[in-house]
Amino acid sequence: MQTLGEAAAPAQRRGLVLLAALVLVLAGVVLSLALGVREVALGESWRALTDPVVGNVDHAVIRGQRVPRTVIALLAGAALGLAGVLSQGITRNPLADPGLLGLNAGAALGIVVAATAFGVVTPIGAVWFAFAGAAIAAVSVFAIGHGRPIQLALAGATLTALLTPISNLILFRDVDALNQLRYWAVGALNGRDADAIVVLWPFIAVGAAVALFAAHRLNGLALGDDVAAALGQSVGRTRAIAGVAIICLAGAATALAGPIALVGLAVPHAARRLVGSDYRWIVPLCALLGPVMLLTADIVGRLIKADELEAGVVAAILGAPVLIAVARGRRVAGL
Amino acid sequence: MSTAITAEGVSLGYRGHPVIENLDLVVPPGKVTAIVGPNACGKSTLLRGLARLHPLSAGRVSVDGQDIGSLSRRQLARVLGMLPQSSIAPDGVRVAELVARGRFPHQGWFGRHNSHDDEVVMRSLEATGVADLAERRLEELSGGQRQRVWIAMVLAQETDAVLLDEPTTYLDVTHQLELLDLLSDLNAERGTTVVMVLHELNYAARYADHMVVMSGGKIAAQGAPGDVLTVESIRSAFALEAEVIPDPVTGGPLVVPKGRGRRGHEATLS
Repeated sequence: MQTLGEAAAPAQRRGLVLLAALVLVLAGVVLSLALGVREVALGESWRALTDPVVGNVDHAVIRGQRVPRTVIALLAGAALGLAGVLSQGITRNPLADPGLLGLNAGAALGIVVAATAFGVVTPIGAVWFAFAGAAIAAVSVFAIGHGRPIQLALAGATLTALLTPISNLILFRDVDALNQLRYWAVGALNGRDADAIVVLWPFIAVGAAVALFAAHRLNGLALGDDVAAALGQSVGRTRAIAGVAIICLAGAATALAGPIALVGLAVPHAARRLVGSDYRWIVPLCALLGPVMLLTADIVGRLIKADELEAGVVAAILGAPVLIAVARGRRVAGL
Repeated sequence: MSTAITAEGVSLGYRGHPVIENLDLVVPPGKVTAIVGPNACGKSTLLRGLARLHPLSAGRVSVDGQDIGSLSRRQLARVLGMLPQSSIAPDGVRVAELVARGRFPHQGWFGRHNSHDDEVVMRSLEATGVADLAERRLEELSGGQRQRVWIAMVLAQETDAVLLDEPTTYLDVTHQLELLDLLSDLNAERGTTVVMVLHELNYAARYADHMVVMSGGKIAAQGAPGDVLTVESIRSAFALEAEVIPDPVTGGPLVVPKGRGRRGHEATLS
């Protein structure tokens, strides 16, 4: 029984990692509300939330801009982190993320079609088209890929290669669509419509709940389809459950914040480094590290004075070193 | 209590290409059964069919009289353990952690472990002689140790029957024997019904109570190794000329192949 006593130590360490990640999320939220191009004292930021004064410009900035972008960073970050870990889990492919499964290309085409065919040029209108585009792309990829790991990745890559030129073709002929997509595509968190949060958060909540439920099953799937089935898992059902969660999470995040790359890819690898190979720990950690990464990206982008740098761009700059560190590590993430 | 596995009129195939047609098999409960046969004779497919990893195109497989098609995967995994040929271990996974995944069919929705799970994992580690490696990473272990860990995982499933698809592949001769001794001990101590696909005829003869020789998707011969392994059965199933002499260690049959150069003209089976 001594060995199991030793096993308690890693569990404790994993608990501490989770706690530390939670603290980082909270710190990120505070900094996100307090920092920006416009200097607002910390006390004033707090008052803007608890006791807002009508006509106070500082309060208006906090409530109208910083609160929504902070909430978007939290929601989209968690959603992308979870969608990424689910994508990698069901494909056993360390390169998988929602983008690889074709969701970003689908969402982009959705927005382009919305602007061109339906004249939708408001962000809130485009949200549904982006979501629908992502969902249709993902369902097609799952249907073509038959739930088998390599086929899923191939189907996703093929669909992306097919949809992207179609989007581009339309964009070259339609300036409204180009403007709409340009704004969405850089992955900026500011200036997003706060109404989009209201309609999209339930998808992220449902997706997150399903992801936590699927974590245990991903542990079986990680041993290969045959072993998972021999252990009593319905492998197809696991992939279907995770697929629904990926569509909800990545569809909503992409509609909300644009095709933010590398969060879905880097966060699961970082999480694995910190807590090992047990998805029951990796999945919740991804839900925390995603927001940490996106909040950090957004804050850093804001602090580059005069001209803000979009969170999507900064996230990519921050995510690349994480991935390089993982790739250079002793344990390259074989899943 | 020992578990009996029966196949009645079973057909299995890939995309319309039948591999096995109308096969009947009774696996004796509480014994070690070895399935041998040339490549592509359908022995692995049969094992996968018994474990429902491959869909039956006809017939039925029952475990203790119950049709496995009527069980949920989880229910089946509580009575029948299976170690497939292809298993993947995630990087960095620790031995105890991997073995604990064998508890899946006994756990609820979120896979919480209780103290009974811990006990079973510990017992499985001890039974396979890897308890002192519990906290090591799987990739740090030797091939033989790793295979013991996989078997510990199947034991953690707590089933009365275990199917193994070529469990000795990639092991050197010492570790092959060690592993077969381990399976033989488990069978003797726990009464676990063991069914394994083996390549090595002489190991099959030495460790199996019941031997099934397959050829071309059919059972060519079955019974006690001494009755089954004959010059004729080896010639017809494997297209191989061999001498069968008494094993100097056990007294059972020992197959000594003559090799290609002396193969007889009648050995034209594919």
